[in-house]
Amino acid sequence: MERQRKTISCFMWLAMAGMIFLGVQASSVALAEYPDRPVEIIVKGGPGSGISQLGHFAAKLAPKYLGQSMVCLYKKGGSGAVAQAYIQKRSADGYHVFMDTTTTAIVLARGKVPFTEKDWQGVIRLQVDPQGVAVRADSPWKNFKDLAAWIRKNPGKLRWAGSHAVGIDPYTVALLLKATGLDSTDIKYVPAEGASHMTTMLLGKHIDVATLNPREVKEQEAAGNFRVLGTGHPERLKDHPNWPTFKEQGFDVVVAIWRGALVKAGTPAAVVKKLHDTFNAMRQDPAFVQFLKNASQIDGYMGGPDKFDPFFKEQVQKMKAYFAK
Amino acid sequence: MLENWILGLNQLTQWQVLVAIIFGVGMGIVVGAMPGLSGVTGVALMIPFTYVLSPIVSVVLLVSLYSAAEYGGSITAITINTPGTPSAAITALDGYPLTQKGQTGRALSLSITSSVYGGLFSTVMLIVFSIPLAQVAIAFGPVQYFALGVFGLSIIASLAGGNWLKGVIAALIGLLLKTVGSDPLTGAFRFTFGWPPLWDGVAFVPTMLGLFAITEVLIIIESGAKSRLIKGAAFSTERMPWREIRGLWKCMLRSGVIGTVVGIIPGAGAVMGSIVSYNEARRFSKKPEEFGHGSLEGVCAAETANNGVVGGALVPLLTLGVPGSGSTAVLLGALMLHNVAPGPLLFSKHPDIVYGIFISLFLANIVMLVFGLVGVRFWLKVVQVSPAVLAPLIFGVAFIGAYCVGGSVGDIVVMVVIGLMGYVMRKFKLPLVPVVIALVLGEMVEISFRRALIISGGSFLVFVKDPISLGLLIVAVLSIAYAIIRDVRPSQTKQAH
Repeated sequence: MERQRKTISCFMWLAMAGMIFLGVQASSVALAEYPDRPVEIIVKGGPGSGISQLGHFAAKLAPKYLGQSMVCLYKKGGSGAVAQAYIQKRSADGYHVFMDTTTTAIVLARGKVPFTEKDWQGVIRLQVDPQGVAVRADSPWKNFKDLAAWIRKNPGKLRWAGSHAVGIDPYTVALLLKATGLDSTDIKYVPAEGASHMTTMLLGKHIDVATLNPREVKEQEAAGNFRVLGTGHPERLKDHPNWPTFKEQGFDVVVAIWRGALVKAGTPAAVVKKLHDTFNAMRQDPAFVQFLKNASQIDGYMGGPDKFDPFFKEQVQKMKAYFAK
Repeated sequence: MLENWILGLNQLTQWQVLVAIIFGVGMGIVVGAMPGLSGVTGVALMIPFTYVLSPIVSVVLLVSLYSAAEYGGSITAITINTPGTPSAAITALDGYPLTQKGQTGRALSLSITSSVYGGLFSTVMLIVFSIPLAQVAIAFGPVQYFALGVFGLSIIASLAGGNWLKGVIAALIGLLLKTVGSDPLTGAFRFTFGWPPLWDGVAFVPTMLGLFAITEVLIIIESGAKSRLIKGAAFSTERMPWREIRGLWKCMLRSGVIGTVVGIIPGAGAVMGSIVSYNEARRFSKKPEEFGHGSLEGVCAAETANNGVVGGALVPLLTLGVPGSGSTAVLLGALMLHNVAPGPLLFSKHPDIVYGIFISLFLANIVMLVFGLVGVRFWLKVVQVSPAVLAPLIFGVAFIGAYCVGGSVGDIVVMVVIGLMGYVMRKFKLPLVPVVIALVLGEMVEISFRRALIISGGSFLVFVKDPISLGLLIVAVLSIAYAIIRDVRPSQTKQAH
């Protein structure tokens, strides 16, 4: 009996000590200045993917400017749906940064996740990767105008590949066809598994046209195998001044994959600004400039969160309209 | 040409390169042997560490890791019936029965020798024929991939040793699992039950872990953790003498060729290489009835081929800039980070890298041989560990493996469900390897079929008009017919007696 009482009182003391400890912890969380603990960068792409490389690189370089360590986590599944849920389940305090791509805009626009663009706050755009169209160098088409004219004369014949059936590539093809006054039935859209797959199919003459980004096409173009008919950049690319843009050929199509940082909506403005300033300083670090150059990526900075956030939300709206059709 | 070799050899005078080879091979064997981690994840996980290294040291490290991982998978396949890599599932077909007979030492020494032979053979092929062989890579479009996939699936009928129907049932279960996820061509969700972890399909790594690791643990528990040796067998540490290994030269040569050629075809991969060469080994064998019950030729065929794939997969990467396998795709990303973009100009722009890869492949295989032969001693200890100790260890490793790659609890759920399914399948004596093959090839067959029809405008004639496709489809039909006839005949003669 005596022993039992002792045990109980011992537990009571322990419980009280624990409560005091937690209370102190909680109050210190509320009071401390952001960031007082490591910040997570969440990516949805597996090891080796472009976004995973950016996430890990940022986690290595940005702590210098944040004054706090960062860790890059990979949350796999559902084209980023699992990663989105992981962040949305947590509080909007800026400790979970979503390093992501255009894919999220598409996933949100398709409405397959229980979140909308209003659940997110854009922080910064770090890279843009313009969409491009390439053909074999022995093809009759010298520019995108030629190609459009050929499609008009031979409807339903052209084998045009892009990555997957839903995503930025089919979206790009749809935009280009619309700008040309053509319809999706005027070509055969061939969903491919990715850039390497399209390159192989194009080399082997299994397809006629491929939707490729600069870094995916530049080696084949330099070797004289492929010809670039147009890019979705507003002006000609600095590293490839011989590639025409769609715009200069009279097709008003500017389309690119972006990569950047988002946080859960409702994150305090001061925290968003702190994150933006951190990544913005990292962006100008020579090591990051070299990283972009090696990956053939273009700096995508477009201004603070007040620029990127509306851009992101508008893109989701545009894609919603595209999927509604 | 000669100056390029000198350039390549020159790279080896850097001590960092030699350290990279030794470290890469060591890591590769561990990564390959760990169920849940394969060459692809190993290479990918290593990338962040290569930022600080020079391009040549990084690429040598990653290539060494990749080739050693293909061997590493066989260790756990042979010792604990849990293949560390997908292609080692074919090795387990005969490797584990050898362990049950107490001949682990023989199986392991054969597996390392075959792997090294396959690796060296494909390296020579890569160096001598890479430019003409690259044409094989681009000859394969949707039409040909469909036929190749059907050919691969047709092997299942003859794989299930004596019961083609059970093999087919198991394959259908695999194909059914493969239909889960977003439709590869339209993006519509199929059988995902509104659960995001299933959106990208039933994840492959957790499936492998469930099918082999979890199922094995359940079987061990059920048997009361008894010794895995079959009645009358005694455990022996005897290795396979060189004389006997040499006797398998025909099997090695054939499997080396098959592995290399399959490796060149982008996306066909090590599993395809292993099953095709396993099937051919049995066809040419004097003792085909031993396959599936501990045939040394079976282990030799699977292991030679999956390392042969390594050299083959590098052919399109180095000549065309197109990866031939999952691991080489990651390697391509790594090279780009170091500002070495693989493409048609790689040989002229970066001969140091290309010839550095060639020479390091030779060295990596030699280092692998040393590690492997020395390692046999340790792996033999694993077999001697009591199943009562081994089972919880496998169980723990499986859970870690399933979670750590994707960081998703959903993957653990998938693993457990598939594990229970695998247990039920084993109770019904259904083979598990066809499930793996169907998972790997099911997607290739489905997507290529539909893609080919999009291109042909709905006409089925494309599959018979193309010579490659027609040839593969005919071989597929013949091999199914052969398997059925072979199964039916003996039972008739038995009845006649």
